[in-house]
Amino acid sequence: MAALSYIATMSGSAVVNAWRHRTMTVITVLIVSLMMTTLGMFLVVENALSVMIANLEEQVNLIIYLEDESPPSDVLALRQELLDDPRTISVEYVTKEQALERLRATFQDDPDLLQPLLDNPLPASLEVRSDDPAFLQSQANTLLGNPIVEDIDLPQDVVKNLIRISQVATFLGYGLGAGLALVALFVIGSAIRLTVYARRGEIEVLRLMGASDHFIRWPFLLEGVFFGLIGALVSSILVGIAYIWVHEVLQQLISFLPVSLDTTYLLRLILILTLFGIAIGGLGSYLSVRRFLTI
Amino acid sequence: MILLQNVSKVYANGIHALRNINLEIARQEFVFLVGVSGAGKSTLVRLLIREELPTSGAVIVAGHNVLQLPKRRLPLYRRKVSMVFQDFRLLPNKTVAENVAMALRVAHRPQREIDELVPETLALVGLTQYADTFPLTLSGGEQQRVAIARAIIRNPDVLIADEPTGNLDPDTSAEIVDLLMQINGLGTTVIMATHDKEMVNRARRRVVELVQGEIVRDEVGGTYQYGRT
Repeated sequence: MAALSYIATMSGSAVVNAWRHRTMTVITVLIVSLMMTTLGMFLVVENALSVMIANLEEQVNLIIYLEDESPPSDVLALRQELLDDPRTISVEYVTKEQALERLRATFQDDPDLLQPLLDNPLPASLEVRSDDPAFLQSQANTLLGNPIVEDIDLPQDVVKNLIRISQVATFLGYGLGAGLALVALFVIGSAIRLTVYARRGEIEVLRLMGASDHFIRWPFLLEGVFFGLIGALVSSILVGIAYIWVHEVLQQLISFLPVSLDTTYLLRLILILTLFGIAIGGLGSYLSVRRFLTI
Repeated sequence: MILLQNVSKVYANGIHALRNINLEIARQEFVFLVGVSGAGKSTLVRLLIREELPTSGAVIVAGHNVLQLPKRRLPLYRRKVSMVFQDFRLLPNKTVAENVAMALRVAHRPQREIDELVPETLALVGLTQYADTFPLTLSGGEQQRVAIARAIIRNPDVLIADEPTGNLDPDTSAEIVDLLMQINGLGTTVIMATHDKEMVNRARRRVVELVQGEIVRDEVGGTYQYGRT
C-alpha cells in the first residue's frame, strides 16, 4: 500500500515536471516519436520484403504432374520414395480438384474466364519442397522416365538467383535495422539527457536536502518511460497506417498469391515499439540521472 | 554538537583551503564564520555537509563522524543538517509551498504532517500569502526566507548558512539575520558564514575568523574585526 502511494506520488511528480518543462517535453517527445516511427517504418518495409521472399520461396518446388490414370499405389510409392530422402522437406499431393480450386482462387475477380471449362483439364501433382536445388534437379532428370509422370516443372535459375538476392537483402536489412535501432537509442538517449541536464541544479539541491538516490531517480525514470510511451503511441499510429498501405501495394504487386492482412504482425509490431519505447525511455533517464548522483 | 579536529583541506590544484582547524561548537550556539573571500569559509561549510571531504583530520557533527559516513547513510545525515545558500537554490519549477514541502518529502514524511507543517513554517517566516507563487517572482529577501523555511521545517539539529545575505540589501539582510537568530532561539545550532561587517557587529554573537585557511580569532560576543566596532 505504501509502495503504491509512493509510486502514485512519483508519477504525479513526473507528470507535473513534464508539464512545467513543456518546451523540453514537446521537443523530446517529437524526437522520440520521429526516431521510433523511422524504426517502425523500416520494420514494415522489412516485413513486406520477407513476405515477398516467402512467396518466392514457396515456388521453389519441384512439381511432378501425374498422368490422369496413374494407379494410386504407384503414386503413393513415389511419394514415399521422395519422402524417404533426407533432403526432402515436404511432399504435397494436389488432386485435380484442388488444382482447379487454386486456379479459381487466382481468377476469383474474373470468374467468367473459367466459364468455358466443362471438364477439369488440370492434372494431379506432387509438389516436392527442398532447400537443395541440386537434389531437385537430379530428381527431375530421373523422374522424366517414370510412366506415371506426365511432366516436370522445375523453377528456373532466374528464380533461384532472385531468392539469393532477396536473402542478401534480408541479411542487409537486419544489419540496417540493428544500426537504425542503435541510432534511435543514441538520439533518444541524448534528448532525454538534455532534459535531465537542464535540471541538474534541481538534482543537486535535492541531494543536499538529503533526498535518496531513489527519490531523485524515480520521477525522471517515469518521465522517460512517459516519453517512450508517447513516442510508441505516435509511431504505432503512423506505422499502422503505413503497414495497411504497404499491404495494399504488396497485394497489387503479387496478385497471383493472396496475401492476407497480418493483424498479428501489426500487433506484434506495436508491442515491440511500446516495449522499445519504455525500455529506452527508462534506461536513457536512468543513465542520465546517474551522472548527477555522484556528489 | 560540532567538533573539528586538526582538519586540513588541500584541493587537487594544490591550494591549501584549510590548515589545521580545531573548532568546537556547542548545541544551540550561534556562530559567525567571518573572513575575506578565499579565507576558507565555504570550504569549512562544505565539509560540514559533506560536499567535500577533508584531506586530514576529523569532522564530527551531531554524533556522526562525517568521514566514516557510508554513502547510503548520507541522505539521512543531510536531513539533520540543513543548509541555506547565498543563491537560495530553490526549485524554480515548484511553488513556494512545494519547495518547503520538499524538505519533508525527501524524508518520506506523511502527507498529513506536510499539510500541517508547511503553512505553519511559512507563517513563521512571514510568507503565507506567497504559498502558491513561484520563487522567481519573489524578491531576493523573500526567496531567502523560502530557503530558510525549507531548511527549518524538519527541525534540524544544525542550520548552516553560507553567505545568506550576500545578495541582499542591508535592511533585508538584517531581517534574515533576525530570522536566523529567532530560529536559534528555538533551539537550532546556527552557523553563518558571512563577510557582512555590520551584521556581525550588531548581533554580538560568537565570531570565528578565518585568514588563509587558519582560525586567527574565536571570540564570544565579538565583532567583525578584532578590537573595533
